[in-house]
Order: sequence, then structure tokens, then C-alpha cells
Amino acid sequence: MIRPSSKVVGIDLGTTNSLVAYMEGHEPTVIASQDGRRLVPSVVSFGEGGILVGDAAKARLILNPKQTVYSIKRLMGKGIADLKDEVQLIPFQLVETRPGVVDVKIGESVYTPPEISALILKELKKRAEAFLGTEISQAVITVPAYFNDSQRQATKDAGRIAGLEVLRIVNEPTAASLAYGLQKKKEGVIAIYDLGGGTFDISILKVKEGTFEVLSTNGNTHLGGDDIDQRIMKVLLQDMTRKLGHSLDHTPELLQMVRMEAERAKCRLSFEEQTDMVIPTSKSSIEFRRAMTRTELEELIGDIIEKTLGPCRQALEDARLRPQDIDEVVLVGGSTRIPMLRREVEALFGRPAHCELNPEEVVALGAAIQADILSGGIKDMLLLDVTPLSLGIETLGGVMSVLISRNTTIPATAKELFTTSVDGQTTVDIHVLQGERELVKDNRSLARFLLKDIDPMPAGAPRIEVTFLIDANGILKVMAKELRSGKEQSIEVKPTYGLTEAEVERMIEESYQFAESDVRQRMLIEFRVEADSIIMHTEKALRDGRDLMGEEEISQIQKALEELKVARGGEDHNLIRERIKQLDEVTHHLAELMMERVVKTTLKGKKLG
Amino acid sequence: MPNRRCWNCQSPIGQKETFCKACAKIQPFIETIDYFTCLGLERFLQIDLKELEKRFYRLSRQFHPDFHYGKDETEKNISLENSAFLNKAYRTLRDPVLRVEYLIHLEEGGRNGIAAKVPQEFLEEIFGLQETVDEFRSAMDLEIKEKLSGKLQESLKVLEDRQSDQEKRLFELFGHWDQVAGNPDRSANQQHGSSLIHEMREILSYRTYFRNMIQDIQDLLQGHTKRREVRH
Repeated sequence: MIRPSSKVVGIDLGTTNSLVAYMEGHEPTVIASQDGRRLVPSVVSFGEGGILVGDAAKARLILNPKQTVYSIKRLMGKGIADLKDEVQLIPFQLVETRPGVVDVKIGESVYTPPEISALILKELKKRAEAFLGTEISQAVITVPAYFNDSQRQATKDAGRIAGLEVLRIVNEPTAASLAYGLQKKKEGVIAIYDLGGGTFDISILKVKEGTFEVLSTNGNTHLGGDDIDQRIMKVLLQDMTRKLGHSLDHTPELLQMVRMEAERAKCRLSFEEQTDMVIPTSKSSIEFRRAMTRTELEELIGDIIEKTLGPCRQALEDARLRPQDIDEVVLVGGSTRIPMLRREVEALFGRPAHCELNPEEVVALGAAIQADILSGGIKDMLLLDVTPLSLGIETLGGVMSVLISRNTTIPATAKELFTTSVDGQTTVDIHVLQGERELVKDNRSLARFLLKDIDPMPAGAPRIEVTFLIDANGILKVMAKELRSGKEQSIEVKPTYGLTEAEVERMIEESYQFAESDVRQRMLIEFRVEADSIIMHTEKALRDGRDLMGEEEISQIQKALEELKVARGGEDHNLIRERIKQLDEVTHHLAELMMERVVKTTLKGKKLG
Repeated sequence: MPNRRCWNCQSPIGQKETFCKACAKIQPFIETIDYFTCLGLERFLQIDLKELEKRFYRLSRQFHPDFHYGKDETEKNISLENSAFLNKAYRTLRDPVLRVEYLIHLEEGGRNGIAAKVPQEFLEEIFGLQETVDEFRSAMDLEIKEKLSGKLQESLKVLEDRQSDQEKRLFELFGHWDQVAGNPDRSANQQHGSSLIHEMREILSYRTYFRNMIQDIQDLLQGHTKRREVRH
């Protein structure tokens, strides 16, 4: 249920930056921090002083490269094998504790990608709460349209770990289209080209009288600005090695410095024809300098841009449209600022591309609109999205049999009959897959379902109807029914990748513990500050008011003072509070005497005056 | 037909109603609903796609889970299932081939499947073409390849023409069917109706062969031209 008193926010959980937005009346609005920053860098740093997120964490990318995690979105629902080309360019350590699922290792601790994403979500939640002055417990979160079931589930898990009920997972290009539809009143057939820090999506929609019908979508969940940065990085590292000798150590610090300079140079080359990259080197005190022209960059990344055009053509074909049938082309995502990309996209569709709304904010705005629709605010906008990948089951011979094909409008459903192959068989194993290839091994395994408690019957006699349902989040649900008895079957889900329900529960619990230790940390700091101030004042009072007290009282105060100093040096905020109270009690008499003296002096002063 | 009652307030509701008149709660479709009824259509094969889309959008606004979010679990589940069914109905009916296949399935029940037998001589023709395709694939000699490519191009043209003739005939039959289906005296038309279904089934069976063959030859020739371009 939607709690009427609380606001539902829209969150764009990006590869490079994340944002939170809400509906201010009829206007979707990005929530800025108190100092006016709108983007939260999607960076998390695990330092001795605790966990930092956003700008504070980004500042530690070079200082603490091994403990500072960036672009976690690219690891969602992935295994190390999926990342082999770039592992050597990532400064923090990746491990695979469960087969096919990559985790991040910081010191002795292992964190799953959803846990790290949850820390970013918590930061956004905090920001929204500070701004709106109310608790935020529900959100709409966006994901790349081409995210598969595991990646969507991982995002939903991240929300839960962060203490957010995820009302809806919305596709990023679709969210962008909502923002354009609401704010720019765009109608007709629209192509949304979304190239972000780590992912690429193309979606083609028909927008008509407030209905947003996605006709087709395609993309690549591992293609974005990060890949462009890596190309520049490789050139820089090669040239540095050549110039500074083969002894050049690829330390995490160096990798991070090179990466950040590559990213900055890429951004500058969208506005300048040529730029200088400068890397300070630790061994020699000289700097490494290298110039790069826009033409050189374009040669380096031409194939990356080309890689986005294939999915565009496929999306057109799936929507049964030709480029000239598209009325508007809209660019979304920071990477679409690259002039070459713009040229190529405009050439493909044969028309100018638009980006009237800030390409870095438009997705969050759309998420806020979807949040408002779900809360019953906006009633005249209808969003009909599709599932990006075909869903099927394994059949004999290791072949995938498609039940719901890609670009089917969601919610979508398919029913399939299953039976037993051996007399008295009481369970049936079903393997669910997602992807476009013929063979099981080429597609992604989503889960295995076990139909249990089938009454023992001759082979082939049970008739179990299994319903596969993709909900409006693009996430699969499965139900089963024995048709002879009408009995609902129990199903045991074993997700192939990602987290089990129990693991998510444990992480939610741990996150509360984190929260508790966060509170403890804050109390400790506050009581220490208070203790310092009391110690200072007491020492002054002891000097100034020594003549007012007897020896015994003085030594009592001194003892309490020493005890507070000891407690202040410790970690127990409760003890500090206790000692402050104690010192307060024994100095009570002294404080009174001092006050009396002040009053007398003042009166005397008055008489004199 | 048994009396239908609202799952919530137990008021009687009609077979086609999807919202209770008394308590306004969303109702599941009846078990026997078909795609035509779901979209409020007669079992006709000629459909105005603009009108179909309008109905689909209107019903989506009634059923879509987005508009039932704040409600209780039962309502949310019904909205999810009704939407999923509606989406499937729209997807099937907007495509003429899926539409007629579905209609045949409804009229004939699941017992025969859609595919009908095609004549032996047609099958032999297809096998012959398949041989040429295989020959082309395995040919190493450029000259032979060029010659075969020309032959395949001719065959492709013939196949495409025949397919488009078949399609024209199929759409003609759509019109005949609608006349029969629209006639209130169903018994008089029953025989005519089933002979129409029979002919449409036949065309659909040919169509599968044509489509696969055309696709194969197109892919093959396209690959051939592409490689030739690369070489130049």
C-alpha cells in the first residue's frame, strides 16, 4: 500500500552518477544537496573513518583506490568471466565467491554489488529526507531497458537493503520519454538513444494522447562512457610505459589517476578540438604529458559508436519501421555529448537529434513522474513497456523453447503443460532461460524451478500447467497448477545468479547493524565534543575558584575530571555521558559559588559606577 | 451459464463485465474468454487496426497495474492477469496471420493443429530448391557460384510472387469469412464456413514453406553480395 503521508521518489541509479527526484506539484524536480549539488557520484569508499558515498568518496579515488568502488552498476548480475577484458584496469579487487557472481573484496570484507548499490541508494534517500523533511520509504528506480531478469532483481534487492520498498523498476529510456512527453509534449514515433556511463539502450515508442507504448527495445548492458575512458587509458598507459621505461608500475593509484584524466579529457574533447592530458608520476618528479585531438579520439572509439548502431537497426526491424518512420530522435545520457556520436545517430535516422532536457537528469525526472502515477497523482498517462529479452525453457537436446518473445508488452504471460516421464515421479525440474540464441548454453540461465509434491501416478499422467508471468517491472513470476486435481503446486525457486531470499534478508539485517553503528559513531563524536568543552570549563573554574573550596571538594572534582578524560579517550559514548553527569554533580556547588561571586562583583561594580 | 458474482461484495455481475457495478472492484475475465471478446469484437477477420489500438489503449487504462497500485492484493493480482491477457489478445489480433491462426484454433478447437498437408509435388519443388541452396553453399568455384546465384535469384522472384498471390487470396477469404460470420442464420452457412477455414489452413501451411525458403535464400544471397563487396 502507498502510505499517503510519505512521498514516493524517483531514483536514477546510474553507473557514474545517481540522482533523486520528486514531483513538486506537477513539475518533476531533481533534489539537490544543501550545497546545491544535483548529482551524487556513484562511488563508495570504505575507509577507516567509516563508509563514504558520493563526492566525499570520489575524492578518495586516488588516495584509496583499493577501498574505493566506482561503476558498480556494471557488475550487477555479472560474473568475472563477463569482465575479463577490463579486470586489469579496475583498481579494486574482484572475487567470485559464488559461481558466476562477482563480488568486491575490500580488505577482509566481501561486498555484493547490490550491497554497494544500496549504500548509494541510502545516500539518495538521506538527501531526499533532508530536503522533504519526511521519511522516505518507497521509490521508483530506473534500470537500463536491456537489463535482464537477474540484473533487475539485483536492483530491487539493492533497494530493499537500503530500506526502500521499490514500487517499480522502470526502464531508463522509457522514463526519459515520460519526461519529454510531460514537459515537451512530444507525440508520434520517438526513438530514445541512451548511452550512459556503462550501458546502452535504444527504445522506440509510440506516444499518443498520453499513452506511451514501447514498440521495441534493444541495447548492450556493458557499453558506455567507461569503455571510451578505457580506450584512452590504454593509449596513455602504453605511451607512459614507452617514455618512462618498462618499470612503470601499474599501481592502483596510477590506474585511477590515468582513468580520471582520461575521463576529463574525453569530456573536454566534446567542446575542444585538442586537449592536453597530464599525469603526475611518483618515481621521477616529472609529469607525463600527452596531447590528444578530437580526430584521434574519434579513431579510437569509432567501433564503440558503431556497436550502438546495430541494436538501433534491430530495434527498427523489430518495430517493423524504417528510419524515416521515426518522428523524433531523443538523446539521453552523458555520453551523447560526444559530437561524433551525434553525427552517427543523426545519419542513421536521417534527422536531427534532440536533447532539450538535460541528458543527465531526464531519466530521474521520468522516474519521479512514474512514482507520481503509481501514487495516484497523474491519472492521464499510461505507460506500456516491453520485455527486452525472450523468455523460454530448456527442452530436449539443450534447445531453448521460447515462451514469451522479446518486445512483448508487459505484463506478459505464457502457459505451458508439463508432465512426468517416469512412473511415480513426484518432482519435475524446469530450467528457465533468457536470451535470443537457439541453444541453452548460449542464453542466460535465470532459475531452476522444482515442481514438488506431485501425486505418484503413471508417467505422463500428471498434467501440470505452469504459468510464466512477467510483471510490469520486467521480473518473472511463476505459478503452477495440477490440472486433474486443481491443486496449486508449490514451487521452489533457485536463482542461478544473484541473491537468494535468505541472503537479501541477512543483508537487510546487516544494514540495520550498519545503521546502528553509524548512530553509535555519531553519538561518540557528539559526546566527545561535549566532554572537551566541559573539561576546558572545569579546568578554568578550578583555577579561578580554588579559594572558594576546601581540599576535599577540590580533590573530588579533580578525580571526576580525570575519570571523564579517560572515558573521552575510549569508544563508549554511554560511559562518556555517565562521566559528564558525574562531573556535573560534583561541580554543582562550585558553579553556584562562582555564580554568587560574579553576581557580587557585578553589584559592586554597579555601586562603584 | 452459472451466475457470476463479485468476489468482493457478492453482487451478481454479467459474463463480460470486468468491474462490479455495486462495489466498483476489478473482476477477472471468465475462464472461457477469447481474444475477440476481450477486445469487444465479433469473430471477424477484417479488423480496423486504428480502432483495435484505440480499444487496446482504453482497456489498458482500466486494467494496467499502474492504476491499481494502492489497492489490495486480490485487486492487484486481477489487474496483472487481466492486463497480461489483454496484451496477448492485442498482440495476436493486430497481426493478420496470428489472427487467422487463432480464429482457426477457436473454430476447430485444438484438435488438428494449424498445419494442413501440402501436396507431394509442392514438397518435391521445395526439396529441389533446397538442393540448389546446398549446392550454392558448398560451391568453391566463383563461376559456379555466380551461376547458382542467378538461378536462386530467379527462384526467389517466383517464390515471392506466389507468396503475395497466396496472401491476396487469404485476405479475400477474410472478407468471405466475415460475410458468413455476420449472417445471423449460422446453420445455413456452416458448411461454407468450414470450407473457408479449410482453404485458409492450406494457405497457412504453404506460407510456412514459402517464408522459410524465401528467408534462407535472402540470407544466403545477402551474405554472398556482402562478401563480394568486401573483396572489391
